[in-house]
Amino acid sequence: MILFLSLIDDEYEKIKFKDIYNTYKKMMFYIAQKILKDEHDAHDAVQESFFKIIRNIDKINDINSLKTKGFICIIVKNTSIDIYRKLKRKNEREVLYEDESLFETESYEYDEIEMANEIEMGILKLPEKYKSVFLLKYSQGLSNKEIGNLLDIKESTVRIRILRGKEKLKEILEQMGVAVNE
Amino acid sequence: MSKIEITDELLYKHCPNVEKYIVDKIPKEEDIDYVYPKKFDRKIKKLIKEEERPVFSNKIYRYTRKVAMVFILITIGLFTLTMSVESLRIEFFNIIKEIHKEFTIYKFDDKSNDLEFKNMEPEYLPKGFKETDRRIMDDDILFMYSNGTDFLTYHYFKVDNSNLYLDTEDTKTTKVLINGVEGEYIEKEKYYTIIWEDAGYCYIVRLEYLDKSYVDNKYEELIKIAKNIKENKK
Repeated sequence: MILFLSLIDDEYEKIKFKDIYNTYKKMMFYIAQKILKDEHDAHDAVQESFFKIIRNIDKINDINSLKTKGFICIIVKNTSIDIYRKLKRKNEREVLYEDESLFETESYEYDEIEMANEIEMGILKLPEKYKSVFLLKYSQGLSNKEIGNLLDIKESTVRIRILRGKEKLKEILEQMGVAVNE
Repeated sequence: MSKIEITDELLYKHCPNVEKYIVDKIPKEEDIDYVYPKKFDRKIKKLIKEEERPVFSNKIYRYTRKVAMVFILITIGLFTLTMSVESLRIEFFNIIKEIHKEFTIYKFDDKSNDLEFKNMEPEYLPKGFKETDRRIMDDDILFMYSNGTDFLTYHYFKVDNSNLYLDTEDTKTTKVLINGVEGEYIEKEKYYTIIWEDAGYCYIVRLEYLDKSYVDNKYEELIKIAKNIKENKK
């Protein structure tokens, strides 16, 4: 019985890989293309993202859930940003590591009326590197170690990003006129 | 007006809504007007195919004797004409080894292994290898490493009353010595395995690759990994 269950499990994973690709391949391209603005580079980002998804297949349960869509979205976005930076370096242009506004794919889509909650608006306005870590931790429920593995950064870097992300959120909220505790 | 405090609880409450907002803003799959080139689709399918293989082949099955008997009966039914069974006791292994045509069964027979489980981990890895996955159960550890093209599995478990199956059809098997303990080196196509038992624990180190391997001197590297497995006391 265990043998058969193992085989079914493998077969299930095989189908799961294919289902994820068929369900989200266009969305993956859409996100990558928005950041990289080049079809070939976007393909590289999709391929690299898919490789990461396969490596983290155990974190995906329901393929069609909002959680899975969000998870894939974060992976593609971060992979695309990494590729963007590499290309910049390759082209020996100035790399503005802190200039995350380049990657704010949602920024021009914000609608403050739609987003009634100020805290959520503040989180949405965070630079991508903090926002991704926040969403992976506080929405996807990943541990710091898992986030580090997924984003190819050290666990200590994840911890620092969470701390700095909170500081940045406080700053953003204060700018929005929200009273935040010191 | 009361001040808010940015706590983990606050973020756990609001981040799912932010994620939902972001996801909802992305157009639906069917509304995105893009068709991948067929070449790219083929590339991804190849990636899936290649990724499956280590998952499948890294599986080393361990069952209770009862389950194993079912498996053996099925196998006998299929291979009655071709199977030749050789049973022998290996002194050092303290296990029964059954050699079948297609596979070998290592039958561990230690009902009273009440040793404390030690966390033994490889301290040496060949150049370029990084850990990709680890599964730790009560008396069983399975670590996976990769350099992108080669895959390394380290499986370590407490010997108990169970059986281990290894695919040994058409293999080249040689005896090896790991820190004074006798073990076996098994080579089959793209799979290279060292198995040994030491003081109530079984160790398996396996290297495999897909199309091309970047590990030179596989035998020497596996021996080096095996000889450098130390207790992680952290």
